Amino acid sequence: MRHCLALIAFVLGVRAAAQAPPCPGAITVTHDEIETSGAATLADVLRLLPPLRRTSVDGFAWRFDDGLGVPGDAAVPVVLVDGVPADLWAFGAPDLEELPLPLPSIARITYCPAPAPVAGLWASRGTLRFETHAPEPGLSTRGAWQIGNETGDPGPYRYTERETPNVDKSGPDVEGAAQYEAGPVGGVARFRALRAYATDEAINPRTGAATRRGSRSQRLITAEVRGAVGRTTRHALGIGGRYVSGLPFFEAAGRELPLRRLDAHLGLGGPLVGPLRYRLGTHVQRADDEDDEIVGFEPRWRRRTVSAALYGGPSEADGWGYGASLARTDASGAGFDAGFTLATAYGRLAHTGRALGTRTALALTATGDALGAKAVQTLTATHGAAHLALTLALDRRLPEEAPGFGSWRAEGRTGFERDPVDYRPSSPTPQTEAQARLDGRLGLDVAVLQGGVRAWAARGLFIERPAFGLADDASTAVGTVTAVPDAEGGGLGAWAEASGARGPWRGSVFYSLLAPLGGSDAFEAAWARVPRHRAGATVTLRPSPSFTLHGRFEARSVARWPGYAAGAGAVGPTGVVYTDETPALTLLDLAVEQGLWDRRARVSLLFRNLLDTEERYHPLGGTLAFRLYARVTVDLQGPLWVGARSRSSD
Amino acid sequence: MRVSLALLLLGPLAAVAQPRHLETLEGALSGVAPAGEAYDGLWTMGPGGALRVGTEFFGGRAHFALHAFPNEPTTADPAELPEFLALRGTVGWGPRLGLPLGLGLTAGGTVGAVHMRFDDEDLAGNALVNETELAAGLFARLDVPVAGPVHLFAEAEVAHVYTAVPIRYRFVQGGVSVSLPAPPWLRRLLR
Repeated sequence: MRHCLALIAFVLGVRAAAQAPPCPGAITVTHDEIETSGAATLADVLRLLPPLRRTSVDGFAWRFDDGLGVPGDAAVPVVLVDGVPADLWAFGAPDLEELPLPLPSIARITYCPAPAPVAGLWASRGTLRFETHAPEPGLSTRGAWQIGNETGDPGPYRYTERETPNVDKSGPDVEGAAQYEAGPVGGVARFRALRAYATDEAINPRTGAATRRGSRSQRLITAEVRGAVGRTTRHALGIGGRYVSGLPFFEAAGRELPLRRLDAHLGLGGPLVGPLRYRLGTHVQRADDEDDEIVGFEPRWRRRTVSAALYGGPSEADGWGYGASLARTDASGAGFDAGFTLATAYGRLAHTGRALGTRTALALTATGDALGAKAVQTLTATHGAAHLALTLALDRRLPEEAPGFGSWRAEGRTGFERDPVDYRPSSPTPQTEAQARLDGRLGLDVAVLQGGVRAWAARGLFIERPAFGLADDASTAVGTVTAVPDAEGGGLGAWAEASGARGPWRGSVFYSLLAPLGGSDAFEAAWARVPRHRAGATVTLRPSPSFTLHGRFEARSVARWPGYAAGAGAVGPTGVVYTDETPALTLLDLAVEQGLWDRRARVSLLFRNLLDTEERYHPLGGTLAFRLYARVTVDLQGPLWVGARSRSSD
Repeated sequence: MRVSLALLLLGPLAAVAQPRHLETLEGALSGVAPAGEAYDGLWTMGPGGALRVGTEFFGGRAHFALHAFPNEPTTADPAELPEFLALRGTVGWGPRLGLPLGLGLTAGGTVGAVHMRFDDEDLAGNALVNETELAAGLFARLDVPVAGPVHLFAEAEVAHVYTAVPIRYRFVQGGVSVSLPAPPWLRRLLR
């Protein structure tokens, strides 16, 4: 492999300078790239990572996955913030926006696609690593304020026979971080407060009948305070929480449900002896109904997780590493009480030479009398600025490692299903998955090429399979959701990106493919929902350090939703026609940014879906039209709050 | 959509052409008259006033403008159709073409929002009584030097408001502007 790489590098004129990637197949997004991309939310940042896909029903809450396993699977990349795993679990649909991480405070995001052990855990779907700016002495503050509006407001016609429903509004959103650093002591407080009025005509009839609230606004407030003590390696204590008042769509109910959720978490971590580190944490989650209008709706939910981990090793790239963790999860609700203890233990061995490297990791997981096992072998080759990583992975995953709604439902948890939907539960079984992937990166004189190919096959897949029609008012699903615990199938994924810079211009083109390679009926039906192709291009023009124009085009292919076929063609009370597919997308976005006061502040106008095409990700979901965000970002740091531009070198 | 695409094409043009930048600060006051009608005969636009502040920016002139104008219902029954005040805030940019006799022609695009302020609480009950919507437009402005930094100008503008039933405004305006050297703090601020 090394000689092949050397030959490719010679032919293409590979740049000599090289920096080893932080993990095999790593994709990195810098602070500067996030800024210029016109990202308004954390979910927007996912657009910069071609292998990851994101979907939404209402345009407010986004979920994401890496295209392996089952679409909508609860297994997603483990999210780490400065090395600390974040618990984003919310009924199997993690939402990145719940991270208390303001966009301006992010220095770098790295997506490591290969399965690997991390911080005492096993990351079956790789890791998504957020790094904040390194602390600098004194006080630094960063924050942003933004407001967004979708076009299509009624305007003065509200008073006439041409009255139309109101349209989505986003914000005002506020996020901020204040960090203080003095010698061996440091601390940071971070928060985000987001709000949206999702009033799309496809969603409105369901949400209007679900809650007593006149305004169907959704709110998310998330905050965290962290303190650290130590001169070289530090002990860190973090405490935080989040409040979500929302109308999330549950496929098990076939509709949005009015929920109020409170999460609180406490974590402590740091060095023990030598390279050995510890991590202790607890997370409490409560969900209740909020002003609901639904008869017999009793969604009360309590979940408590207590975890402890020990792990160590000189580095991910070299030497021995080891780790173990124990996590106890208890959940309760109306007439329901269940829990499990999950133990994880792993060892890894890595060697990185001048040109070749290997990484081997083995892990065991256990809960009750069930045992899971994992093995990963990665070979890496480096020549100049060219890197290639071949990964082979086997994973026998226990359902408790990534429990979705269906897992708890099988334990007796009810409360989310509604009478019109007959949910037929099954107990999930251990899933066996084999994966092979080849990821690479090539730095040329004028451009960087990166991409990857992966193939996988799995048995014991847990799939919730809907068969929906639409109710009398043609807005709410009726039918069945059948949990299938033993589906099998396989898939292929590939992606490639070429990016380059010349003078004030920067640009990139990308493509990603996700395709099933066959499987059981339930698997085929679930994968019909996945758009096969996604492609796009970006152009950034920065004629001066203070002014940036960024354009982005993205196209995505059509997808079928077989479970919604019976409702196709139904006309809702607002006149919307529901379909059993999500349309092909052609999205054009534009971001204009003017820096102020040496870029201590920035004012941005973010145009989304400038072509006003039908941007929709779910058969019953809202359509996101041409919309505009206005955003103000502030970045003040250092003892005298020196200019942001001078040190924002990444 | 045509307006938004035109704005998209203007963006790179704005950024690459660049002889002068942030050298003067121009303030302008104008009277604005509607041209044609915009609401399918339901309201009539009245004359309004506008305030504009601009400067050289990447080879052209950028400005921020505020424009207010009343809108009277064509029906006599206010319970059917209330009057409203429209407040339009825009930012715009366009290259300036020098003409003989010191004349200058500036043409370009604008983007902003229109806020429709109704005063009809009895009508709307608990509903929101005001609306704000995105607007984008194109303009052409001819300015004539009068004395030193003082200019007279005439401008024509068309603006598209992205309401559910789209609104197309057409305005003509005339006024006076004064250009002064941009203060150093402004240059520092926008640097």
